[in-house]
Amino acid sequence: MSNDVRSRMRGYIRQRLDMKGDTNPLRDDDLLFSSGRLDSLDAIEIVMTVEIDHGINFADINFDLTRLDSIDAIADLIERHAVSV
Amino acid sequence: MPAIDQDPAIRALAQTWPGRALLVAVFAALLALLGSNALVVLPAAACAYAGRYRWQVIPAATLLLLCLAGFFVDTELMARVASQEGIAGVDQRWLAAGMIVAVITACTGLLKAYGHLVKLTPFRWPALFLSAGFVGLMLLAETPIAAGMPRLLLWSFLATLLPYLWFLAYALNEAAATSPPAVGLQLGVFHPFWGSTLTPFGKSVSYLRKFEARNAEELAVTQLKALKLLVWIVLLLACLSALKTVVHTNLGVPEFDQAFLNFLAGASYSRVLCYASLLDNFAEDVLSISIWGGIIVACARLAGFRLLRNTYRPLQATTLIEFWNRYYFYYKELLVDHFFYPTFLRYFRTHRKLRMFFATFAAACLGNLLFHFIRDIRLVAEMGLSKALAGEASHAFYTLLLATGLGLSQLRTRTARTQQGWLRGRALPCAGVILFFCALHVFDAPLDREHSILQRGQFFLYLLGVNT
Repeated sequence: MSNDVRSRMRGYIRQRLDMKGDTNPLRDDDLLFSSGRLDSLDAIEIVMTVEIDHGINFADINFDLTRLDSIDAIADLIERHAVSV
Repeated sequence: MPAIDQDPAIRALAQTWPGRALLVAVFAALLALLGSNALVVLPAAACAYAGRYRWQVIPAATLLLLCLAGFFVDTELMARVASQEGIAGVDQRWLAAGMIVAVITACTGLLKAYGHLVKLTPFRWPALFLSAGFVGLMLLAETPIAAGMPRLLLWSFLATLLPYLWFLAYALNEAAATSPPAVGLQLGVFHPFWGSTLTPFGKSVSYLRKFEARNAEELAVTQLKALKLLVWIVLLLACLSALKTVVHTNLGVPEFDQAFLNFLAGASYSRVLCYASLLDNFAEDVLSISIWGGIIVACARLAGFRLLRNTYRPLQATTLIEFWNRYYFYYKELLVDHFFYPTFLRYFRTHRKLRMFFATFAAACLGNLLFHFIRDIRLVAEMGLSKALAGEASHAFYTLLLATGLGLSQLRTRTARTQQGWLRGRALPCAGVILFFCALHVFDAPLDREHSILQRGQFFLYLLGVNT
Protein backbone atom coordinates (compact mmCIF):
# COMPACT_ATOMS: atom_id res chain seq x y z
CA MET A 1 0.00 0.00 0.00
CA SER A 2 2.83 2.34 0.92
CA ASN A 3 4.23 2.73 -2.59
CA ASP A 4 0.79 3.35 -4.00
CA VAL A 5 0.09 6.01 -1.37
CA ARG A 6 3.43 7.67 -1.97
CA SER A 7 2.93 7.68 -5.70
CA ARG A 8 -0.53 9.26 -5.44
CA MET A 9 0.56 11.86 -2.91
CA ARG A 10 3.64 12.66 -4.99
CA GLY A 11 1.46 13.31 -8.02
CA TYR A 12 -0.99 15.38 -6.02
CA ILE A 13 1.69 17.51 -4.34
CA ARG A 14 3.57 17.93 -7.61
CA GLN A 15 0.37 19.34 -9.08
CA ARG A 16 -0.02 21.85 -6.24
CA LEU A 17 3.62 22.90 -6.51
CA ASP A 18 3.26 23.38 -10.27
CA MET A 19 0.27 25.66 -9.67
CA LYS A 20 2.53 27.81 -7.52
CA GLY A 21 5.21 27.90 -10.19
CA ASP A 22 7.52 25.66 -8.10
CA THR A 23 9.21 23.35 -10.59
CA ASN A 24 12.06 22.26 -8.30
CA PRO A 25 12.51 18.49 -7.86
CA LEU A 26 10.37 16.81 -5.20
CA ARG A 27 11.75 14.01 -3.03
CA ASP A 28 9.77 11.98 -0.53
CA ASP A 29 11.68 13.40 2.43
CA ASP A 30 11.55 17.04 1.26
CA LEU A 31 9.90 19.29 3.84
CA LEU A 32 6.73 20.77 2.38
CA PHE A 33 5.42 23.19 4.98
CA SER A 34 8.53 23.94 7.09
CA SER A 35 10.31 24.91 3.88
CA GLY A 36 7.50 27.20 2.76
CA ARG A 37 6.89 25.29 -0.48
CA LEU A 38 3.32 24.59 0.60
CA ASP A 39 1.18 26.63 2.97
CA SER A 40 -1.65 26.03 5.38
CA LEU A 41 -4.21 26.33 2.62
CA ASP A 42 -2.51 23.53 0.72
CA ALA A 43 -2.60 21.53 3.95
CA ILE A 44 -6.37 21.73 3.96
CA GLU A 45 -6.54 20.25 0.47
CA ILE A 46 -4.21 17.44 1.55
CA VAL A 47 -6.28 16.83 4.70
CA MET A 48 -9.45 16.55 2.65
CA THR A 49 -7.83 14.22 0.16
CA VAL A 50 -6.47 11.97 2.91
CA GLU A 51 -9.80 12.00 4.77
CA ILE A 52 -11.79 11.07 1.69
CA ASP A 53 -9.37 8.52 0.24
CA HIS A 54 -8.33 6.83 3.49
CA GLY A 55 -11.17 7.48 5.93
CA ILE A 56 -8.98 9.25 8.47
CA ASN A 57 -10.69 11.70 10.82
CA PHE A 58 -8.10 14.33 11.68
CA ALA A 59 -10.24 15.56 14.58
CA ASP A 60 -9.67 12.16 16.22
CA ILE A 61 -5.93 11.96 15.74
CA ASN A 62 -4.90 15.36 17.15
CA PHE A 63 -4.22 17.33 13.99
CA ASP A 64 -0.68 18.65 13.66
CA LEU A 65 0.78 20.07 10.46
CA THR A 66 4.14 18.41 11.11
CA ARG A 67 2.44 15.08 10.38
CA LEU A 68 1.95 16.21 6.80
CA ASP A 69 5.34 17.86 6.35
CA SER A 70 6.70 15.43 3.75
CA ILE A 71 5.47 12.67 1.49
CA ASP A 72 7.13 10.20 3.89
CA ALA A 73 5.27 11.74 6.85
CA ILE A 74 1.93 11.62 5.03
CA ALA A 75 2.48 8.00 4.00
CA ASP A 76 3.40 7.14 7.59
CA LEU A 77 0.29 8.86 8.93
CA ILE A 78 -1.91 7.02 6.45
CA GLU A 79 -0.36 3.67 7.30
CA ARG A 80 -0.96 4.21 11.00
CA HIS A 81 -4.50 5.51 10.84
CA ALA A 82 -6.14 4.45 7.59
CA VAL A 83 -9.46 2.64 7.84
CA SER A 84 -11.28 0.78 5.09
CA VAL A 85 -13.50 3.05 3.04
CA MET B 1 18.76 40.77 -5.36
CA PRO B 2 22.20 39.10 -5.63
CA ALA B 3 22.00 35.57 -4.27
CA ILE B 4 24.71 36.07 -1.63
CA ASP B 5 23.33 33.14 0.36
CA GLN B 6 24.16 30.79 -2.52
CA ASP B 7 27.74 31.97 -3.07
CA PRO B 8 30.10 29.36 -1.53
CA ALA B 9 32.83 31.94 -0.80
CA ILE B 10 30.44 34.30 1.01
CA ARG B 11 28.89 31.38 2.88
CA ALA B 12 32.32 30.31 4.03
CA LEU B 13 33.19 33.86 5.09
CA ALA B 14 29.95 34.13 7.08
CA GLN B 15 31.10 31.12 9.14
CA THR B 16 34.32 32.81 10.29
CA TRP B 17 34.39 35.18 13.26
CA PRO B 18 35.55 38.20 11.20
CA GLY B 19 32.85 37.41 8.65
CA ARG B 20 30.23 37.13 11.39
CA ALA B 21 31.33 40.45 12.91
CA LEU B 22 31.10 42.10 9.50
CA LEU B 23 27.67 40.61 8.83
CA VAL B 24 26.29 41.74 12.20
CA ALA B 25 27.79 45.23 11.78
CA VAL B 26 26.28 45.66 8.31
CA PHE B 27 22.95 44.38 9.61
CA ALA B 28 23.04 46.91 12.48
CA ALA B 29 23.89 49.73 10.06
CA LEU B 30 20.97 48.80 7.82
CA LEU B 31 18.62 48.68 10.81
CA ALA B 32 19.80 52.15 11.84
CA LEU B 33 19.25 53.35 8.27
CA LEU B 34 15.69 52.03 8.49
CA GLY B 35 15.15 53.92 11.75
CA SER B 36 14.82 50.67 13.67
CA ASN B 37 16.49 49.75 16.96
CA ALA B 38 19.95 48.53 15.91
CA LEU B 39 20.72 47.22 19.42
CA VAL B 40 18.55 44.19 18.71
CA VAL B 41 21.55 42.72 16.83
CA LEU B 42 23.23 42.09 20.21
CA PRO B 43 20.72 39.52 21.54
CA ALA B 44 20.22 38.21 18.01
CA ALA B 45 23.94 37.57 17.57
CA ALA B 46 24.17 36.11 21.09
CA CYS B 47 21.30 33.76 20.27
CA ALA B 48 22.76 32.80 16.89
CA TYR B 49 26.23 31.97 18.20
CA ALA B 50 25.24 30.53 21.58
CA GLY B 51 25.04 27.01 20.18
CA ARG B 52 23.38 24.67 22.65
CA TYR B 53 22.67 27.58 25.00
CA ARG B 54 20.44 29.27 22.41
CA TRP B 55 17.27 28.30 24.24
CA GLN B 56 18.55 29.88 27.43
CA VAL B 57 19.53 33.09 25.62
CA ILE B 58 16.09 33.59 24.06
CA PRO B 59 14.04 33.87 27.30
CA ALA B 60 16.77 35.97 28.93
CA ALA B 61 16.99 38.40 26.00
CA THR B 62 13.22 38.56 25.67
CA LEU B 63 12.81 39.25 29.38
CA LEU B 64 15.44 41.99 29.22
CA LEU B 65 13.81 43.73 26.27
CA LEU B 66 10.33 43.34 27.78
CA CYS B 67 11.59 45.01 30.96
CA LEU B 68 12.93 47.89 28.87
CA ALA B 69 9.62 48.15 27.00
CA GLY B 70 7.55 48.04 30.19
CA PHE B 71 6.08 44.69 29.11
CA PHE B 72 3.92 46.61 26.60
CA VAL B 73 1.40 47.31 29.35
CA ASP B 74 -1.17 49.93 28.35
CA THR B 75 -0.61 52.16 31.38
CA GLU B 76 -2.63 54.98 29.79
CA LEU B 77 -5.69 52.77 29.87
CA MET B 78 -5.06 51.92 33.52
CA ALA B 79 -4.68 55.62 34.38
CA ARG B 80 -7.86 56.45 32.49
CA VAL B 81 -9.92 53.82 34.34
CA ALA B 82 -8.46 54.96 37.68
CA SER B 83 -9.47 58.51 36.84
CA GLN B 84 -12.96 57.46 35.68
CA GLU B 85 -13.49 55.52 38.89
CA GLY B 86 -12.20 58.40 41.01
CA ILE B 87 -9.43 56.27 42.49
CA ALA B 88 -6.49 58.41 43.52
CA GLY B 89 -3.34 57.39 45.30
CA VAL B 90 -2.72 54.16 43.38
CA ASP B 91 0.85 54.12 42.11
CA GLN B 92 0.52 53.14 38.44
CA ARG B 93 3.99 51.59 38.36
CA TRP B 94 3.25 49.29 41.28
CA LEU B 95 -0.13 48.42 39.84
CA ALA B 96 1.48 47.56 36.48
CA ALA B 97 4.20 45.52 38.22
CA GLY B 98 1.59 43.63 40.23
CA MET B 99 -0.40 42.90 37.11
CA ILE B 100 2.68 41.64 35.26
CA VAL B 101 3.25 39.18 38.10
CA ALA B 102 -0.44 38.22 38.04
CA VAL B 103 -0.41 37.63 34.28
CA ILE B 104 2.80 35.57 34.40
CA THR B 105 1.35 33.52 37.26
CA ALA B 106 -1.94 33.00 35.43
CA CYS B 107 -0.18 32.00 32.18
CA THR B 108 2.15 29.61 34.04
CA GLY B 109 -0.73 28.01 35.93
CA LEU B 110 -2.80 27.61 32.78
CA LEU B 111 0.08 26.11 30.79
CA LYS B 112 0.90 23.66 33.56
CA ALA B 113 -2.70 22.59 34.03
CA TYR B 114 -3.67 22.54 30.38
CA GLY B 115 -2.68 18.93 29.80
CA HIS B 116 -5.56 18.00 32.15
CA LEU B 117 -7.93 20.84 31.27
CA VAL B 118 -7.89 19.98 27.57
CA LYS B 119 -9.96 16.88 28.35
CA LEU B 120 -12.84 19.14 29.36
CA THR B 121 -14.99 20.41 26.49
CA PRO B 122 -14.80 24.19 27.23
CA PHE B 123 -10.99 24.09 27.08
CA ARG B 124 -10.55 22.08 23.87
CA TRP B 125 -10.40 25.13 21.64
CA PRO B 126 -7.75 27.37 23.23
CA ALA B 127 -8.34 30.49 21.13
CA LEU B 128 -12.07 30.40 21.71
CA PHE B 129 -11.68 29.70 25.41
CA LEU B 130 -9.15 32.53 25.80
CA SER B 131 -11.18 35.00 23.73
CA ALA B 132 -14.35 34.15 25.62
CA GLY B 133 -12.51 34.50 28.93
CA PHE B 134 -11.02 37.83 27.90
CA VAL B 135 -14.32 39.27 26.69
CA GLY B 136 -16.06 37.79 29.73
CA LEU B 137 -13.69 39.61 32.09
CA MET B 138 -14.25 42.82 30.13
CA LEU B 139 -18.03 42.42 30.46
CA LEU B 140 -17.61 41.74 34.17
CA ALA B 141 -15.53 44.90 34.47
CA GLU B 142 -18.32 46.89 32.84
CA THR B 143 -21.07 45.66 35.18
CA PRO B 144 -22.23 48.04 37.95
CA ILE B 145 -21.12 45.64 40.70
CA ALA B 146 -17.50 46.00 39.55
CA ALA B 147 -17.48 49.78 40.01
CA GLY B 148 -14.47 51.22 41.78
CA MET B 149 -11.36 49.21 42.64
CA PRO B 150 -12.58 45.88 41.14
CA ARG B 151 -13.10 47.61 37.79
CA LEU B 152 -9.62 49.13 37.90
CA LEU B 153 -8.06 45.76 38.77
CA LEU B 154 -9.97 43.93 36.05
CA TRP B 155 -9.09 46.47 33.36
CA SER B 156 -5.47 46.53 34.52
CA PHE B 157 -5.31 42.75 34.22
CA LEU B 158 -6.78 42.88 30.71
CA ALA B 159 -4.42 45.70 29.66
CA THR B 160 -1.46 43.61 30.82
CA LEU B 161 -2.64 40.30 29.35
CA LEU B 162 -3.60 41.67 25.94
CA PRO B 163 -0.10 41.79 24.34
CA TYR B 164 0.39 38.10 25.20
CA LEU B 165 -3.05 36.67 24.52
CA TRP B 166 -2.32 35.09 21.10
CA PHE B 167 1.11 33.89 22.22
CA LEU B 168 -0.71 32.11 25.03
CA ALA B 169 -3.12 30.58 22.53
CA TYR B 170 -0.20 29.10 20.57
CA ALA B 171 1.46 27.93 23.78
CA LEU B 172 -1.75 26.19 24.91
CA ASN B 173 -1.93 24.37 21.57
CA GLU B 174 1.58 23.08 22.33
CA ALA B 175 0.76 22.31 25.95
CA ALA B 176 -1.83 19.78 24.81
CA ALA B 177 0.86 17.75 23.02
CA THR B 178 2.30 14.58 24.55
CA SER B 179 5.67 16.17 25.34
CA PRO B 180 5.22 19.95 25.54
CA PRO B 181 8.21 22.30 25.93
CA ALA B 182 9.03 23.60 29.43
CA VAL B 183 6.70 26.37 30.58
CA GLY B 184 9.62 28.80 31.09
CA LEU B 185 10.68 28.28 27.52
CA GLN B 186 7.17 28.81 26.24
CA LEU B 187 6.89 32.07 28.20
CA GLY B 188 10.32 33.06 26.83
CA VAL B 189 8.94 33.41 23.30
CA PHE B 190 5.98 35.58 24.32
CA HIS B 191 6.92 38.72 22.39
CA PRO B 192 10.39 37.43 21.47
CA PHE B 193 13.24 39.91 21.31
CA TRP B 194 13.27 40.02 17.48
CA GLY B 195 9.87 41.71 17.55
CA SER B 196 6.19 40.98 17.10
CA THR B 197 2.87 42.68 17.10
CA LEU B 198 -0.10 41.15 18.90
CA THR B 199 0.40 38.53 16.19
CA PRO B 200 3.22 36.15 17.07
CA PHE B 201 5.98 36.12 14.44
CA GLY B 202 7.41 32.66 14.97
CA LYS B 203 4.29 31.29 16.67
CA SER B 204 5.67 29.06 19.42
CA VAL B 205 8.64 27.02 20.64
CA SER B 206 7.79 23.97 18.50
CA TYR B 207 7.40 26.08 15.39
CA LEU B 208 10.67 27.90 16.04
CA ARG B 209 12.48 24.60 16.56
CA LYS B 210 11.41 23.50 13.11
CA PHE B 211 13.00 26.61 11.61
CA GLU B 212 16.13 26.67 13.75
CA ALA B 213 19.50 26.59 11.95
CA ARG B 214 21.07 23.25 12.91
CA ASN B 215 24.70 23.83 11.98
CA ALA B 216 27.17 26.57 11.03
CA GLU B 217 26.40 26.25 7.33
CA GLU B 218 22.64 26.60 7.83
CA LEU B 219 23.21 29.49 10.21
CA ALA B 220 25.38 31.31 7.67
CA VAL B 221 22.75 30.85 4.94
CA THR B 222 19.97 31.99 7.28
CA GLN B 223 21.89 35.11 8.30
CA LEU B 224 22.82 35.94 4.72
CA LYS B 225 19.13 35.64 3.84
CA ALA B 226 18.44 38.04 6.73
CA LEU B 227 20.91 40.52 5.30
CA LYS B 228 19.47 40.16 1.81
CA LEU B 229 15.97 40.73 3.16
CA LEU B 230 17.07 43.86 5.00
CA VAL B 231 18.69 45.30 1.85
CA TRP B 232 15.43 44.61 0.03
CA ILE B 233 13.54 46.44 2.78
CA VAL B 234 15.82 49.47 2.42
CA LEU B 235 14.90 49.53 -1.29
CA LEU B 236 11.21 49.21 -0.42
CA LEU B 237 11.52 52.11 2.02
CA ALA B 238 13.07 54.22 -0.73
CA CYS B 239 10.18 53.24 -3.02
CA LEU B 240 7.63 54.17 -0.35
CA SER B 241 9.27 57.52 0.21
CA ALA B 242 9.42 58.24 -3.55
CA LEU B 243 5.80 57.13 -4.00
CA LYS B 244 4.60 59.48 -1.26
CA THR B 245 6.51 62.40 -2.74
CA VAL B 246 5.31 61.83 -6.29
CA VAL B 247 1.69 61.05 -5.44
CA HIS B 248 1.00 63.55 -2.68
CA THR B 249 3.47 66.37 -3.30
CA ASN B 250 3.89 66.35 -7.07
CA LEU B 251 0.50 65.08 -8.23
CA GLY B 252 -1.58 66.52 -5.38
CA VAL B 253 -3.42 63.26 -4.67
CA PRO B 254 -4.91 63.37 -1.15
CA GLU B 255 -4.42 60.70 1.51
CA PHE B 256 -7.38 58.32 1.47
CA ASP B 257 -8.60 59.48 4.88
CA GLN B 258 -8.57 63.07 3.69
CA ALA B 259 -10.55 62.18 0.55
CA PHE B 260 -13.14 60.43 2.73
CA LEU B 261 -13.36 63.28 5.26
CA ASN B 262 -13.74 65.85 2.48
CA PHE B 263 -16.58 63.81 1.00
CA LEU B 264 -18.36 63.77 4.36
CA ALA B 265 -17.82 67.51 4.72
CA GLY B 266 -19.50 68.07 1.35
CA ALA B 267 -16.30 69.17 -0.38
CA SER B 268 -15.46 66.04 -2.34
CA TYR B 269 -12.38 65.66 -4.42
CA SER B 270 -13.02 64.54 -7.98
CA ARG B 271 -13.67 60.85 -8.48
CA VAL B 272 -10.39 60.48 -10.31
CA LEU B 273 -8.50 61.82 -7.29
CA CYS B 274 -10.51 59.61 -4.94
CA TYR B 275 -9.67 56.54 -7.02
CA ALA B 276 -6.04 57.62 -7.12
CA SER B 277 -6.01 58.04 -3.32
CA LEU B 278 -7.52 54.58 -2.89
CA LEU B 279 -4.96 52.94 -5.18
CA ASP B 280 -2.14 54.88 -3.55
CA ASN B 281 -3.37 53.82 -0.13
CA PHE B 282 -3.27 50.19 -1.23
CA ALA B 283 0.29 50.56 -2.58
CA GLU B 284 1.50 52.37 0.56
CA ASP B 285 -0.15 49.78 2.77
CA VAL B 286 1.50 46.86 0.96
CA LEU B 287 4.89 48.59 1.07
CA SER B 288 4.53 49.48 4.77
CA ILE B 289 3.61 45.98 5.87
CA SER B 290 6.45 44.56 3.75
CA ILE B 291 8.84 46.90 5.54
CA TRP B 292 7.90 46.46 9.20
CA GLY B 293 7.05 42.77 8.88
CA GLY B 294 10.27 42.19 6.96
CA ILE B 295 12.36 43.84 9.66
CA ILE B 296 10.95 41.45 12.28
CA VAL B 297 11.59 38.41 10.09
CA ALA B 298 15.11 39.61 9.23
CA CYS B 299 15.94 39.98 12.95
CA ALA B 300 14.64 36.48 13.65
CA ARG B 301 16.79 35.15 10.81
CA LEU B 302 19.84 36.93 12.20
CA ALA B 303 19.12 35.07 15.45
CA GLY B 304 19.23 31.80 13.52
CA PHE B 305 15.60 31.06 12.67
CA ARG B 306 14.68 30.59 9.02
CA LEU B 307 11.28 32.21 9.39
CA LEU B 308 9.21 32.57 6.27
CA ARG B 309 8.65 36.06 4.91
CA ASN B 310 5.63 37.91 6.33
CA THR B 311 4.78 39.57 3.02
CA TYR B 312 5.83 37.76 -0.11
CA ARG B 313 5.08 39.09 -3.60
CA PRO B 314 1.46 40.04 -2.83
CA LEU B 315 1.00 41.77 -6.18
CA GLN B 316 1.58 38.46 -7.96
CA ALA B 317 -1.51 36.98 -6.34
CA THR B 318 -4.07 35.92 -8.92
CA THR B 319 -6.78 34.93 -6.43
CA LEU B 320 -8.15 36.58 -3.30
CA ILE B 321 -7.09 33.67 -1.13
CA GLU B 322 -3.56 33.82 -2.55
CA PHE B 323 -3.31 37.53 -1.77
CA TRP B 324 -4.55 36.91 1.77
CA ASN B 325 -1.86 34.29 2.12
CA ARG B 326 0.91 36.51 0.80
CA TYR B 327 -0.01 39.86 2.38
CA TYR B 328 0.27 39.29 6.16
CA PHE B 329 1.39 35.70 6.52
CA TYR B 330 1.61 35.43 10.33
CA TYR B 331 -1.78 37.01 10.91
CA LYS B 332 -3.32 34.70 8.30
CA GLU B 333 -1.58 31.79 10.07
CA LEU B 334 -3.02 32.91 13.40
CA LEU B 335 -6.54 32.88 11.99
CA VAL B 336 -5.96 29.58 10.20
CA ASP B 337 -4.37 27.87 13.22
CA HIS B 338 -6.87 29.10 15.80
CA PHE B 339 -10.12 29.42 13.89
CA PHE B 340 -9.93 27.70 10.51
CA TYR B 341 -8.48 24.32 11.49
CA PRO B 342 -10.61 23.82 14.61
CA THR B 343 -13.77 24.59 12.62
CA PHE B 344 -12.66 22.63 9.58
CA LEU B 345 -11.90 19.51 11.61
CA ARG B 346 -15.17 19.61 13.54
CA TYR B 347 -18.01 20.75 11.30
CA PHE B 348 -19.64 19.63 8.03
CA ARG B 349 -17.11 16.89 7.46
CA THR B 350 -19.23 15.25 4.80
CA HIS B 351 -19.93 18.41 2.78
CA ARG B 352 -16.68 19.37 1.10
CA LYS B 353 -17.63 22.84 -0.16
CA LEU B 354 -19.76 23.83 2.80
CA ARG B 355 -17.02 22.65 5.14
CA MET B 356 -14.41 24.78 3.39
CA PHE B 357 -16.64 27.83 3.18
CA PHE B 358 -17.77 27.61 6.81
CA ALA B 359 -14.21 27.25 8.10
CA THR B 360 -13.03 30.16 5.95
CA PHE B 361 -15.89 32.18 7.32
CA ALA B 362 -15.04 31.25 10.91
CA ALA B 363 -11.47 32.49 10.38
CA ALA B 364 -11.79 35.51 8.09
CA CYS B 365 -15.03 36.86 9.53
CA LEU B 366 -15.52 35.72 13.13
CA GLY B 367 -11.86 35.25 14.07
CA ASN B 368 -10.84 38.44 12.33
CA LEU B 369 -13.59 40.42 14.02
CA LEU B 370 -12.83 38.93 17.42
CA PHE B 371 -9.11 39.63 17.05
CA HIS B 372 -9.69 43.29 16.25
CA PHE B 373 -12.36 43.78 18.90
CA ILE B 374 -9.94 42.42 21.50
CA ARG B 375 -7.05 44.44 20.05
CA ASP B 376 -9.09 47.63 20.46
CA ILE B 377 -10.57 46.67 23.82
CA ARG B 378 -9.40 49.99 25.26
CA LEU B 379 -12.20 51.65 23.26
CA VAL B 380 -14.74 49.91 25.48
CA ALA B 381 -13.24 51.68 28.48
CA GLU B 382 -13.03 54.95 26.59
CA MET B 383 -16.34 54.97 24.68
CA GLY B 384 -18.51 52.57 26.66
CA LEU B 385 -19.56 49.10 25.53
CA SER B 386 -22.54 50.07 23.35
CA LYS B 387 -20.65 52.76 21.40
CA ALA B 388 -17.63 50.52 20.97
CA LEU B 389 -19.86 47.76 19.59
CA ALA B 390 -21.67 50.18 17.29
CA GLY B 391 -18.31 51.48 16.07
CA GLU B 392 -17.38 47.92 15.12
CA ALA B 393 -20.25 47.70 12.60
CA SER B 394 -18.23 48.86 9.61
CA HIS B 395 -15.40 46.51 10.43
CA ALA B 396 -17.91 43.69 10.85
CA PHE B 397 -19.22 44.43 7.37
CA TYR B 398 -15.64 44.47 6.09
CA THR B 399 -14.92 41.05 7.57
CA LEU B 400 -18.20 39.74 6.14
CA LEU B 401 -17.25 40.87 2.63
CA LEU B 402 -13.70 39.61 3.06
CA ALA B 403 -14.80 36.19 4.29
CA THR B 404 -17.33 35.86 1.48
CA GLY B 405 -14.70 36.79 -1.09
CA LEU B 406 -12.12 34.44 0.37
CA GLY B 407 -14.65 31.64 0.75
CA LEU B 408 -15.71 31.88 -2.88
CA SER B 409 -12.08 32.17 -3.95
CA GLN B 410 -11.31 28.95 -2.06
CA LEU B 411 -14.11 27.09 -3.76
CA ARG B 412 -13.15 28.04 -7.30
CA THR B 413 -11.30 25.34 -9.15
CA ARG B 414 -7.88 26.61 -10.06
CA THR B 415 -6.26 25.81 -13.35
CA ALA B 416 -2.59 26.21 -14.11
CA ARG B 417 -1.81 29.79 -15.09
CA THR B 418 0.36 28.74 -17.97
CA GLN B 419 -2.66 27.30 -19.77
CA GLN B 420 -4.39 30.68 -19.92
CA GLY B 421 -1.71 33.02 -21.21
CA TRP B 422 -0.29 36.12 -19.57
CA LEU B 423 -3.28 38.44 -19.95
CA ARG B 424 -6.04 36.06 -18.79
CA GLY B 425 -3.89 33.95 -16.52
CA ARG B 426 -1.91 36.69 -14.81
CA ALA B 427 -2.62 40.37 -15.53
CA LEU B 428 -6.41 40.44 -15.32
CA PRO B 429 -6.69 38.24 -12.19
CA CYS B 430 -4.00 40.34 -10.44
CA ALA B 431 -5.87 43.54 -11.32
CA GLY B 432 -9.11 42.01 -10.06
CA VAL B 433 -7.52 41.09 -6.73
CA ILE B 434 -6.12 44.60 -6.27
CA LEU B 435 -9.47 46.20 -7.10
CA PHE B 436 -11.28 43.94 -4.63
CA PHE B 437 -8.96 44.86 -1.76
CA CYS B 438 -9.05 48.55 -2.70
CA ALA B 439 -12.85 48.52 -2.63
CA LEU B 440 -12.82 46.62 0.64
CA HIS B 441 -10.58 49.24 2.22
CA VAL B 442 -13.38 51.82 2.03
CA PHE B 443 -15.00 49.87 4.88
CA ASP B 444 -11.81 49.35 6.87
CA ALA B 445 -9.90 52.62 6.79
CA PRO B 446 -7.89 53.66 9.86
CA LEU B 447 -10.72 55.99 10.89
CA ASP B 448 -12.57 52.76 11.64
CA ARG B 449 -14.58 53.48 14.76
CA GLU B 450 -15.35 57.12 14.03
CA HIS B 451 -17.57 56.78 10.99
CA SER B 452 -20.63 54.72 10.34
CA ILE B 453 -21.11 52.01 7.80
CA LEU B 454 -23.71 54.28 6.13
CA GLN B 455 -21.18 57.08 5.61
CA ARG B 456 -18.69 54.63 4.15
CA GLY B 457 -21.39 53.14 1.95
CA GLN B 458 -22.24 56.60 0.63
CA PHE B 459 -18.59 57.23 -0.21
CA PHE B 460 -18.40 53.87 -1.94
CA LEU B 461 -21.42 54.74 -4.05
CA TYR B 462 -19.85 58.10 -4.87
CA LEU B 463 -16.80 56.25 -6.18
CA LEU B 464 -19.12 54.16 -8.36
CA GLY B 465 -20.64 57.33 -9.79
CA VAL B 466 -23.84 57.34 -7.71
CA ASN B 467 -24.61 60.57 -5.87
CA THR B 468 -26.68 60.02 -2.72
